[in-house]
Amino acid sequence: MLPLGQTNILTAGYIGKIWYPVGEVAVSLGGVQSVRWRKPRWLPTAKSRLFTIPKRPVIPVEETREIQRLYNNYRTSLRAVRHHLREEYLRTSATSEVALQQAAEEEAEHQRLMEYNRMENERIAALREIRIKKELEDDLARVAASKQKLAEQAAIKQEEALRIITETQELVKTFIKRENLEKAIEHALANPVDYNSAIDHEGHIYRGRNTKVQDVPEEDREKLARASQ
Amino acid sequence: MFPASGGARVGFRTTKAIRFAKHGCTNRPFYHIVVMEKRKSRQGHVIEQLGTFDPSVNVHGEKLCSINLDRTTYWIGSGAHISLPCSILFGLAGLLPIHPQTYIKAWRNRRTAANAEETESTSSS
Repeated sequence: MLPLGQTNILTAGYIGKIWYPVGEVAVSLGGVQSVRWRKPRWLPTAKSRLFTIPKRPVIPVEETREIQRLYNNYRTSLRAVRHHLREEYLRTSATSEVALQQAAEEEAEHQRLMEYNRMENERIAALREIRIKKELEDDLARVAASKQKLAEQAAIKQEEALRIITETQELVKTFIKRENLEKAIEHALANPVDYNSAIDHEGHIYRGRNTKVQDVPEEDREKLARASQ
Repeated sequence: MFPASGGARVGFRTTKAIRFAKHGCTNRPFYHIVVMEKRKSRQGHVIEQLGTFDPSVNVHGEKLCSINLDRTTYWIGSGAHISLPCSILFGLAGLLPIHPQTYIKAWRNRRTAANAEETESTSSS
């Protein structure tokens, strides 16, 4: 056996006459030339290795026979195993009877599940119908309640507005009109109001500008409303 | 990057092979057990990864290997070829009959061990 990395190039028909340079010895060896990629092709076999003949392995005859027997047995049993696996493969492959049966079973299962799915959908749809109806009713009730509440609020607001109007109308009566202006001025001049005042520690109030304590007699002093409490 | 776990196009009526695809790095080999087209290179696009094989011995003296038996039987049944190392591995795993190479290697190892023992005993005595 040749070592790894060596290949034989058959030069059949070209013995001694090939296009690339090789060693003479290599060419004459029965048309077989060994190529080692380690060194260039045109280098001949090394001088030290030129005439060496590799030693052939010596295998005893009994061992050879035994090996032969083992290989025969191995090939036979391997063929049997291969045949068995081939049968198994054909049995389970996509177009086999078992596979077709399995596919049919799967299809039936799928149909069953689809039927179940349909029934479940119907059941859920009925429940949904009821739920939606109830939701609609609830919505209507809510809207009605809200409408009523809004109406109540509007009524309250209207009442408030009416109250304000009546109050304002009351107030309008006290306004000073143009024809009454002279009269009002006369009245105001005739009745001056003095807002000046003073208080003391006891809580008496002295209105007007005459706020000296000694000037006001004891019995005429006016008590403050808060202080008197 | 093509995924190492497979996904290559499954050619119609092309020869498939179950074999090792080398991963790992320098001085640390690691193999994926893969299904590939037989004519593709070792690092070519993988149709499907069937398992892993770590040829380095771990601390417990084990070489770890994982095989997806379902898919392996499927691919063998569909006519995939099996490379020699893979068939040896499948033989040891019990999927296929034990490969003759296993027996040969075993008895040769035993013989060399016996020879070494003999030479040792003769040299010591």
